[in-house]
Amino acid sequence: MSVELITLLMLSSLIAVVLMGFPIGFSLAGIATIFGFLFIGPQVANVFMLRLYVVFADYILIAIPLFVFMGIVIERSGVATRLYDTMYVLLGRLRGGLAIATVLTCTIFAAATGVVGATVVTMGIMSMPAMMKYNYSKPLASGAICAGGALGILIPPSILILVYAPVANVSVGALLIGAFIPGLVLAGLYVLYIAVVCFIKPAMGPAIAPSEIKVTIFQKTKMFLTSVFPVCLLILAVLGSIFFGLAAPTEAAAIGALAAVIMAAFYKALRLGVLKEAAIRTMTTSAMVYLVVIGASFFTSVFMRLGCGKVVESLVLGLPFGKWGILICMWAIIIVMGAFLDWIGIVMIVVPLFSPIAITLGFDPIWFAIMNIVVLQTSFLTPPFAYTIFYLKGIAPEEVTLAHIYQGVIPFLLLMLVAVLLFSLFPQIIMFAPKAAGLI
Amino acid sequence: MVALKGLMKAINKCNEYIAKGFSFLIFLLILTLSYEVVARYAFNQPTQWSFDATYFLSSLVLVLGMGYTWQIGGHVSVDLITNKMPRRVNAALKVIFIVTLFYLCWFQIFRVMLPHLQNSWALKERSMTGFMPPIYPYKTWIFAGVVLLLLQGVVEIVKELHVLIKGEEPR
Amino acid sequence: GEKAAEQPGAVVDPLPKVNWTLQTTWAQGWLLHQMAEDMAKRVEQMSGGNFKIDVLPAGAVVGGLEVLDATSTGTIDAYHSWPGYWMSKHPSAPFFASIPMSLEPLMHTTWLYAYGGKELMQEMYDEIGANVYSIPGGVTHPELLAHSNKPLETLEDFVGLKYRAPGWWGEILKGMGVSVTMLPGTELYPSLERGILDATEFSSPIVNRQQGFHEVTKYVAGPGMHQPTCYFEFGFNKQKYDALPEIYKQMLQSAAMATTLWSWTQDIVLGFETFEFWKSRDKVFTRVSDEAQRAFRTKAWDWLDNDVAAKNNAHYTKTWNSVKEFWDKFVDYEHFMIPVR
Ligand code: NA
Ligand code: NA
Repeated sequence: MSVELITLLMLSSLIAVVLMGFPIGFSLAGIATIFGFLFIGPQVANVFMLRLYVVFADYILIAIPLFVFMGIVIERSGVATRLYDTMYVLLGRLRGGLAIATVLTCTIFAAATGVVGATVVTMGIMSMPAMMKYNYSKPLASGAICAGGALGILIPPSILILVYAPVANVSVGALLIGAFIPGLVLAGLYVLYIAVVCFIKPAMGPAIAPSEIKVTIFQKTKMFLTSVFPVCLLILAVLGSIFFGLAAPTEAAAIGALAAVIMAAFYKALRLGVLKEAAIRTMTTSAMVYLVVIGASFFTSVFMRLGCGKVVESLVLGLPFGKWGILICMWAIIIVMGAFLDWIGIVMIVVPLFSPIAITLGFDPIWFAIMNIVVLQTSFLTPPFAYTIFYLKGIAPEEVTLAHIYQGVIPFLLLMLVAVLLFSLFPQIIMFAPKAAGLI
Repeated sequence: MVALKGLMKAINKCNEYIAKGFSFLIFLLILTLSYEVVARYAFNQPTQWSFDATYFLSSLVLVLGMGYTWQIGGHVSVDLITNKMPRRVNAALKVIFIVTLFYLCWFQIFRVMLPHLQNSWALKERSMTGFMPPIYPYKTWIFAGVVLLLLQGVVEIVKELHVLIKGEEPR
Repeated sequence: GEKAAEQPGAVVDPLPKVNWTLQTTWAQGWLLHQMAEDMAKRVEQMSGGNFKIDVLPAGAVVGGLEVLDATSTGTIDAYHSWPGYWMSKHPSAPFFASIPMSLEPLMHTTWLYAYGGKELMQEMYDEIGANVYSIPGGVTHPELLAHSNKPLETLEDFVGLKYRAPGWWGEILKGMGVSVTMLPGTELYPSLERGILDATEFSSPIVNRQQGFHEVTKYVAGPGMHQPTCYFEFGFNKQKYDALPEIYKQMLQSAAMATTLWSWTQDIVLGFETFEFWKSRDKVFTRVSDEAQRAFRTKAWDWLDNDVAAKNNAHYTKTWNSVKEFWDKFVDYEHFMIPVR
């Protein structure tokens, strides 16, 4: 059987099994086993065993449970409600102010946690009813929550980056520092879009009458200090310790987890039950991520051993579009996969294939990695398989239909593409911070 | 039938208690890593043991939790199409996948791990880093995790077979 | 067949087609990876293209440090690695790779090839139950002691130094007040940059240059006390090796020996260039004083004597005695025979 045919069969059977609802990690491992046994021999089981030992000893991946833990503790500390109340008071009187407040709260939350689901659910519960009360456009409100929530995976701390970096063989620190500014730029684009669209069509996000928000400057200051300030400290604890070279990313994640526990205590939300729940949920969430990483490492190992990687590489490099055309094709593939697959599956399947191609084409590996992560964000918003949409539909009021949400995410998806264009034209937006930190 | 139900229950409970029990090691992991940073700056004396301790602790949390995560349906899957299928068709698919994909892979790992583990114990195999602690215990609990996962597979397959035959979820 | 037989000196029996997969512990492009490529190319040319060895980098089939297990189980046919890594399985392993403050390149070569070294190496693999046949293959001149942000000249300079050093060298340094850290290779550059490390060793100058450590450190420190030489190896799956026709076995042996000489001389010549490069980047060169080096030697040998006694492993004891015996003979002989520089 030719390598081309094996490549085709391996990828298509994987997609078929995944779409038939079998867990992604088991599907990757299983398909790898079948093709490994058929075309290499039973000794592939040894490779899998060795991979297992290596994955569980991987120093960088250990940051995953730590970031997950940190996110869960923060989610339970009640800080999100405080943040949103502050934003509401500060921005409510602007046109579209509540939607802007939603995006800003999500952005701060994204910089403190790495869990998209938690952000969407929390914001959906807090801000959706408020926006409905003031007759905001339902698509706009839904879009703001979904897009804002997806920022959590781009702005560090980010599990996606932890999984991505070792696969692409680039520095985790550089990616964590490098993704921060693009994340803020994207948040800025969302805010700008909401402000402009609500200025043109005030009915989409009417301003709240000044009489409805009666809060003194003193109260505003106090609200600000007890909500935004502690979270900023937490962000500083994690990103600062990486940026200023105090700690390796895994250590920074542990410091963040410790800081989150201290913050929860500060908000009097630290109960034994919370810690117990956090430990158990951390274990299940991280075990899920690890299983996919393991399955994918089996899959890649067989895929590469059989020479399928070279087939894909020559196929993509042979596209008659030139350097940027090939890049756009790769991103298009990621976007299409994102409509059906979870981000982690995409990272594990696509990154080992695309990264060497991008390097061959002469793109900077750090830049390419962060661009891919920006593009991967779309997978959270593109139907039919989109986490943020599922979560939001799950908790949104009855009157908000799936159609509203689908309609609402479209402008934000387009804004993501605008950001991709922006970062392609001005790569220094991405490269500036890692260079300043001396990581590249 | 009663015996089978008892076995299923025993496996579920076993996986649950072990996974939950070891999940609390996350606190020790946080403290270990934080201490390493303190030791480096406050005492200018990085520890020798922290590097290995880090993955020993995290692997205990994670590998022993894989079976339990399956039990609670925590392993990410795409249920777009299966949601629209008759439950019995879905169950048939799952049985086929568990046998051909899951067991084929993980039982083979189990098979080659046994002699490897024996050899590791015989050599008193050590880590290549830090103070070079013994590494055969680490390999042993990875093996335990694989066994727990295989056991959970039994529960999952019986569950789906029940649906396939009786047409309803087992209680 | 027909045509070949007419040529004088040609092999009459056609050589069988053999295709092997070899994985290294190294990244593509490193001199260490090129050692394996060099050997494979020689074998392919010698066999007239009939014996092909595909050389893959670390991670292609298994991780870089899993090549021994993978070859032993037949997942891959052969590997290229550094025997010192197997210290996790057998205490003697570093003797066949690098011995701190001991065998230099010519000494190590002589000990391995002509004084029983490679036979002791095979004994080690047999003792750990590895299903491999292993031969020396590739050597580099001393490694660089460190890329450092602190000058390293006296014993005091090492006290409190945050230094990445694995294995025996790490153990020896711990007894001398060094704060020894172990970080994976990919974390070294950022750790030096941000002061998590003061100094690191990793490989020979040419490899260090490729890793860019000079961008984040001020000093280049010598001599290579921790690894006065660095021997590499080729390991073959036993059944696969035994099944080869005799002529292919000879080709592997000859090619591996040729690779050893090739890599050694390449490393030295490339080292010259790297020195010039570092000078052009205004790196400060420091050299540990002779007096301090002798103190290190005493410490290193004492540490080994103690460890050998403590482990009480017959092969470990036997190998260390062989090295010491060889050292004395070689030093006396060379001192007498080699003219002054
Ligand atoms: Na985040
Ligand atoms: Na999607």
